[in-house]
Amino acid sequence: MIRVQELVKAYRGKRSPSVDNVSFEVGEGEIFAFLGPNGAGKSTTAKILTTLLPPTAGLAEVAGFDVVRQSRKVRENIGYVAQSTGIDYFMTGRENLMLIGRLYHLSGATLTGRVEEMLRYFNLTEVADDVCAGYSGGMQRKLDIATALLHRPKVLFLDEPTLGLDAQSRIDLWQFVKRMNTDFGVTVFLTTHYLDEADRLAHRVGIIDRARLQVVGTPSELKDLLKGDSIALNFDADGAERALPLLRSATFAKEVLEEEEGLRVYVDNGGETISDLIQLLSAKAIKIKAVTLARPTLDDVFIKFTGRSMDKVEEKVKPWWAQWAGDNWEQMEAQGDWQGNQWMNADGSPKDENSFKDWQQTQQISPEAVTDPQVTAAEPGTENEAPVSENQDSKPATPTDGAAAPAPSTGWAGNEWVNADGTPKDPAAMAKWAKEMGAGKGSK
Amino acid sequence: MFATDTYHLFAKYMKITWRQPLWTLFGLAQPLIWLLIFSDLFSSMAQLQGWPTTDYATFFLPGVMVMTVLFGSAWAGVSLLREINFGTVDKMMVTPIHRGSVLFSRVLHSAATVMIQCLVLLAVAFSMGLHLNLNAAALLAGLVAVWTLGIGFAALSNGIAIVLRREEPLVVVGNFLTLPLMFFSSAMMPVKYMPEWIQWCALVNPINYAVEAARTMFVGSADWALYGKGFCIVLGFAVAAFAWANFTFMKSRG
Repeated sequence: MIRVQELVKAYRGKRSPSVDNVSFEVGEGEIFAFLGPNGAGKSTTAKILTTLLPPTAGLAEVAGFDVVRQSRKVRENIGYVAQSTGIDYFMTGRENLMLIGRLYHLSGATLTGRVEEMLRYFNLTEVADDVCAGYSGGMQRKLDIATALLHRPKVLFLDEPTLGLDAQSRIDLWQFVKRMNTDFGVTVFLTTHYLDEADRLAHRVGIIDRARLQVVGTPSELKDLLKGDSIALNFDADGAERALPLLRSATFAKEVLEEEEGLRVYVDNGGETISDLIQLLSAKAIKIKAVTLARPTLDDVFIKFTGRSMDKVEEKVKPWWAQWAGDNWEQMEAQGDWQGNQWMNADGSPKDENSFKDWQQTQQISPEAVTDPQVTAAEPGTENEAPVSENQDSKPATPTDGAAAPAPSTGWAGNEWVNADGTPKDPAAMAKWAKEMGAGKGSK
Repeated sequence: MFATDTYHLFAKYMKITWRQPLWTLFGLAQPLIWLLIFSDLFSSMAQLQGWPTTDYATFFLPGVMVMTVLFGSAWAGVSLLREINFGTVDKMMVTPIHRGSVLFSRVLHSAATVMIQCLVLLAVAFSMGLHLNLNAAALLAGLVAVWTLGIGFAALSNGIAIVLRREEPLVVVGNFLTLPLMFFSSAMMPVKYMPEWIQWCALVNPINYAVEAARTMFVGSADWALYGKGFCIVLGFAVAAFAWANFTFMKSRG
């Protein structure tokens, strides 16, 4: 029903393509989920398949028609529910359905019949003549799906169908998708970044990350690829380094992965293995801080194929200068084009000389010297995101030497709680601060 | 089918407009206020030697209609941006409708709302006892010229909206364009009283031709030759503006 071969979508001005050489097929009557974090290329793929975006290269066929050359035929055979609902808030549910039905060139008794059928099917008959602005999120989404089913499409595309819905509405919607799939025999292509959604709803799942399709299979096939349960271990200090060779050579461990906050060990039978594992490590006096045993989930599959956890993949954060750069920020970021404005350089440093010296000082704070949780924003890696506010936040922090540095000459005299050198004004807090600073120095 | 698709979308927009009675009320009142204020403000201008009409209000009526078109259509693009952001445009574009009907229905709707305002203006003008042409064909022809200008300006606003992609600069551009276009036309005073450089500006200003065409039909001698020339220029402007807007729209879709 859907055939995609070596599909590529590259936006102008972006370094890497948004969809990179993706190939897959979806059979008739299947529910196929594209699972991946935000910005992985899911929605772009959906938009290409629904003829909203032309592909840069590759082949895409939906219901037997080419999305570029036979786009009109494709449109007649698909329904599409976007992330943003797209229904008209000033019109009633029935009016929305009638309008979309007409745009699909239905008319007369067929149209009114279908509209009533859809209203009944999605339990919207009672509110059919209310203006949609008063609908709940779940109702709007259901109405949106109803409009996409009016013309009996062969394929239904759902782009993040449960995004922003409450738990009950999500479960409700899953049931509708399953029922629709059997009742109307409609093939469903959905994108989601919810693991449970893909797991419970889809017959087959394609995991997409960083524009590439990593793996395709049924949820159980994918989990079987992991061959067993996973044990996540957290350690103190250098525990992870010492444990790694031990676990790698242990017979029960099928695979050991290094993660940010510890190790993940894949084993056949987690319940039995866990005691062996703890014995092994305690014999070498490696202290374990926390152990978590987990049956495989799609997240484990995701980790296996992408090397990171879905939960850890953060949404693309806008660079701090995006608001000054307008809508082109993405493009400018890719090209490194932003040259600053009259006050700021492109790295967020002030152009004014005095302020620049001050700024330089705040940039040199080492993470170890930071005691105030407020100042954690000064860690490398986050510095591109908010140096402007960081400038103010991190001023009260002390420079690397840890000693009470002389106050910067720019005239910042502290505020009601903090002195200009970052020492607290409250005497008790001052004593504690001094102690902590001493300790910080000692540990280095 | 282009015609039916356009009609259904047009009907939707009209329905939505109808649901916002406050807008409709203000929209209707505004040109009337202009007509009353400006007529009074500039009433002594009608005493200038060679002024074409007996009173200023009669002269100004076509001008205020064109003004309504300008101010009413200049913001047409704002709602397009909103529809793009809400996903309403995507929802239309995945249906097998004719691609051109998306913008054309919007433009028709803008022009139609302006037309309603103009009809009310005309009715008030009659009741005020302005010296209008009482020839139905001439009145209709005048309205058609104003309506065509409305299409052109709404298309221009939609096109600019797609290029700018954000509401704020669109409002700035709208403000930047409307007033000069207004004053560089004979909407408020005949061209012959203008400084020479403004006369030159008026020569290339489509607004000026729309005002001239409407004026000769509403309050003048119904000079069909003058009307024909003005209407052709306005029509050319409207066609070019829509073609450009639709091209920009389709290009923006990837």
